Amino acid sequence: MLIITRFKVTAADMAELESLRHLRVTLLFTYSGITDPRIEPIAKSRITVTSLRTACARKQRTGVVLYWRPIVPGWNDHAATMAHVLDTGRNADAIVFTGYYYKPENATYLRAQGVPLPYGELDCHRRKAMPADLDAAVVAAWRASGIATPLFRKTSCGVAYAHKVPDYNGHWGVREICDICPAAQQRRCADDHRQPTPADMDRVLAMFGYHSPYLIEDGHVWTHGLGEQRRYAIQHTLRYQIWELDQPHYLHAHGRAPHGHRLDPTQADHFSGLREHLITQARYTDD
Amino acid sequence: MTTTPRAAPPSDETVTGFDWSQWTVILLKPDCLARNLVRPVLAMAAQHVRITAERIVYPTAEQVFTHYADIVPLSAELGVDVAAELRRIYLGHPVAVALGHGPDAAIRLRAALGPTDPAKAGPLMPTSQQAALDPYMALVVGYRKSGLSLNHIIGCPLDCGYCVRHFWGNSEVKTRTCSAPMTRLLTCSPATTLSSRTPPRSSF
Repeated sequence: MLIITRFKVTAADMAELESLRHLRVTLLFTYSGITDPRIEPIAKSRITVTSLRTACARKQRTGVVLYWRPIVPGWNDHAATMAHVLDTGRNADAIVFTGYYYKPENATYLRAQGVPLPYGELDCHRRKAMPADLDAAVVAAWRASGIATPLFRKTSCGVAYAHKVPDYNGHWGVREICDICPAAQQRRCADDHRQPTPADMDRVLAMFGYHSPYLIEDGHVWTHGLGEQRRYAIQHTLRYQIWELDQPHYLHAHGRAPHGHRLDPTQADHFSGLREHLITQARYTDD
Repeated sequence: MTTTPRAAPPSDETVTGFDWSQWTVILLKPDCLARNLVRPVLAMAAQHVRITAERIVYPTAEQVFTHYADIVPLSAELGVDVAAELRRIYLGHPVAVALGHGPDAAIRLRAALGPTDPAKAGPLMPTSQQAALDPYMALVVGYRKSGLSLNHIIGCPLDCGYCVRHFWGNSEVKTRTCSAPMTRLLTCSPATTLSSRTPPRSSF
């Protein structure tokens, strides 16, 4: 069970959570370090930092994660800000960082507030913006910080690490994001990682009553038309990445908006070929 | 599931002289027992009717299909094989049955429970407001990449520059409301925890 909060978590709350025996609880404290009150209205409050400290001091079986998001150029990527956030997570089990959902509606709102836009008008995308250079800056700041708290790019990686279990989303199949992961956790995920067979896929699809063409590749399975919730149900069952043909992940940009990433054009060709192949297969099967 | 008390059984089949509106059979389903919820659920029921008897039984297929006679023929309409689901949920698993007594027992307990069909559970947000929601906003997300979502709780007093509600024109809603009751989230199991009915003819 994941609880995401920025609000008050007391010693009594922690005692309650710690008394649970049949739930694995993770508390994720969203804390970005943004100080501009036009963007972060609770910037002046110490509640989140105090709550995080309280949770870290009392956690035994409860996982505690500093959820460092959104990280946005110009808002909270200054070296001093990053160092402060990292230090805030010094006693957490993990720090998970991610980017910013940037949409035209945000741009309109920010303009009205007089806030300079962090990205261009054409950089809006359905996924979060986290350019490669910003990712590199975050990782460099973490390495320089001297803290022992591991840093993760994916929520489930941080949550899984906090409970010493392999990632339930099978991100080991997206190996390039694992370069910052502790070796012990890499081993857990590697040991758990098993490419599903067609029989596995057929069994799980039948179990849920879902229908999709699929193609099993190294680290992920392509599907089509299932929708997020169904894909995730399969993904959690197999602990293997289940991808949608219409929303492909590019190498080094898994789950991220394309802005700020050099995407390999040959990958796009590969995706088009896959699409053609799977949709033809689906037509053939339907007939 | 129906909540309307059925007509009193004909006198040639069972006992006579009973005011059946005073009685209700409470069934605590296998998931309720598996989660060790018998006591708290019966305690809740006892606030509305007097519990006069209770026991644990392993229901037979005949009992299950009699109890659910009204939905067994509705497989096509409900989109599931009702008979197969009932077998899966009940056969070989213990249930608790209890008798509740009091004026209009079934009607009052039924009202206290609320709809057992999640699709019919009344929304907490006025329908007119729901209709105005962006379809994505109105969608109750029951399964996420990490954890469960409470995205049916809509509205926030803060004005964060990075708020995702800007996308759906919802950032002006400052008071939290629920677009759907929690029962809408519990769609993974066709079983509900508790049902209350008037005694079927084969009452124990």
